[in-house]
Amino acid sequence: MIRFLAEYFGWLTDPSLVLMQLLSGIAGAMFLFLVASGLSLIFGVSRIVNFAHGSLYMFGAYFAYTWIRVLAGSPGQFWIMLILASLTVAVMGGVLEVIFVRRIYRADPIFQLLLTFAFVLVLSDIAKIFWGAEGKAVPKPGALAGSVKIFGAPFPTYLLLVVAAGLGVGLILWIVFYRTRWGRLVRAARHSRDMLAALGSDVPRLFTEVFMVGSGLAGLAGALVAPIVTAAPGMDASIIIEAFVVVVVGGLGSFLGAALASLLVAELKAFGTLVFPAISIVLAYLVMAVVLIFRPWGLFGRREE
Amino acid sequence: MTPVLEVGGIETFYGQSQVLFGVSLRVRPGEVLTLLGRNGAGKTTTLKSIMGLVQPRSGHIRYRGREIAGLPPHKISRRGIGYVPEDRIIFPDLTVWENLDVARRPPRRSVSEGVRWTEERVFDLFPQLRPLALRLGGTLSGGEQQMLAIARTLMGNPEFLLLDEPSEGLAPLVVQMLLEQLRKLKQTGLTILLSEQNLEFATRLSDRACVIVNGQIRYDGSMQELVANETLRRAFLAV
Ligand SMILES: Nc1ncnc2c1ncn2[C@@H]1O[C@H](COP(=O)(O)OP(=O)(O)OP(=O)(O)O)[C@@H](O)[C@H]1O
Ligand SMILES: [Mg+2]
Repeated sequence: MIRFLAEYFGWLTDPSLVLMQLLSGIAGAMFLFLVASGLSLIFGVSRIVNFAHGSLYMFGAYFAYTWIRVLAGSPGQFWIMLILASLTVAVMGGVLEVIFVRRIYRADPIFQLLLTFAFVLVLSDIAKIFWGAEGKAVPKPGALAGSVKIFGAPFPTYLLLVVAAGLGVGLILWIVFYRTRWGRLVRAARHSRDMLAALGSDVPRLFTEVFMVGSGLAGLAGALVAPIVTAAPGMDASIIIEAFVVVVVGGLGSFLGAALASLLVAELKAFGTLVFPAISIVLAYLVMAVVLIFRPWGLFGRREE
Repeated sequence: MTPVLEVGGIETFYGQSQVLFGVSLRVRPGEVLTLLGRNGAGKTTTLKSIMGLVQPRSGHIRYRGREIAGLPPHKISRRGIGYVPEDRIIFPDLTVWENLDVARRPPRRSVSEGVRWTEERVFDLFPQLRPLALRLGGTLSGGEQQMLAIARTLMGNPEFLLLDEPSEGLAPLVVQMLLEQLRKLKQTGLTILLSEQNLEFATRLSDRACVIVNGQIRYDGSMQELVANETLRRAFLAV
């Protein structure tokens, strides 16, 4: 028994290791939150479960690579790249919405799933055509390449930026959603697009805007993660699964739920790796299964009438 | 007098099943025209067809002389037509003030300064809403929701109002209050197409009536004549 505990939980006696895992869990949660909140925003309004959301994240990473090369040498290139990569992916999402998605809002959900799944396949091939099958490395900005000491333990400075960006975007989202007219329109559209249209709002345009904002969030997450993981095929599948876990656990359409569930899933992964490296993601699925059994609408979601 | 709204022979379907069989009606400027009919006769479908929420398969709908059939609902709304649905559809997780705000539209040029709707003026008409401004729409009573639904539509500064069974499911006292408020609205010069089953309510508000039976207009004339003629009432209405 003691041997078992020592083998699997020995790390608990090392506070700096615990702190490190905690912090990298928080950083991981930020990527998940950016992706999941976009996914959730789009679903809340359009009722479309967008499988291609992970592909948009992957494109964010690839565009990070491309924009960095285009901008090479210009001052503040990393920051400009973040903005341009997000915007590029936002435009991509907008184009997909205008050309394809808006035709199927009233279709059977199975057709909606088929369409967004088709996007996944097509987009992954397009990415391979443009960027090849090799991973593309994106350099960290010079100032953030090192590490800082937190309670004596070294922690990558770049992850601090990620945490700051996640919190910043979360705050902006909250303000936009609850304190601006656009946010009010989005919340109204989640309840009844027909009523909102009958009151004179250009609902088709609003849907396109929502798609662009949601996609832009995925793009930002992809661009932010690129310097850590390199942009490569397969990014789309791994993030979308975790994002779905987050959204199911947190409750579709709830920002707070997405934030807390991201934290939960990312910390489970971070600490799970220390205990049972091989099955750390399984822990997240277990949580999801439990939530689905006892609160199918998620921890913070609203029960459908 | 040229009608504000002219509906000519519209046929509307839900999938394969036809609900409206050539409905025609004309609403004159400044009047309240009541569309009477039993449950399932097609009142709501007529209003939804006008609003563009369902598309009639044939027939025409002219508003101020221009065809509006086929336009999306937001464009029809922006022409000056307001719609208050039967089921009210208050946005439940928006506050009362937010419900009003999402419906805010600048008035068309034809609307004079004096009749522009603002929260203040809407709260003057429905004083019971004023203290509820920060409450969530989903927590209001049925009567409050009905008033908010009308108030919200007014925020778009409509010149023509489609009102679907406003008195439905409300306590008699609330119906009384609503009646007074709608009369005030009528006095502002607003043209109203009202759908009702409550003959008494309709009589107190409107001048003319159309009776719809199984998707066809079977009476089109004065309200008094309809009320006075018992055989007519017996034949078409459950009263
Ligand atoms: N979405 C729909 N799909 C199929 N049939 C419908 C739909 N909505 C209404 N109907 C049918 O169309 C007919 C007319 O309905 P409508 O709602 O227009 O009647 P109504 O006069 O407004 O009735 P009520 O007084 O009950 O509101 C009814 O037979 C109804 O069952
Ligand atoms: Mg009806």
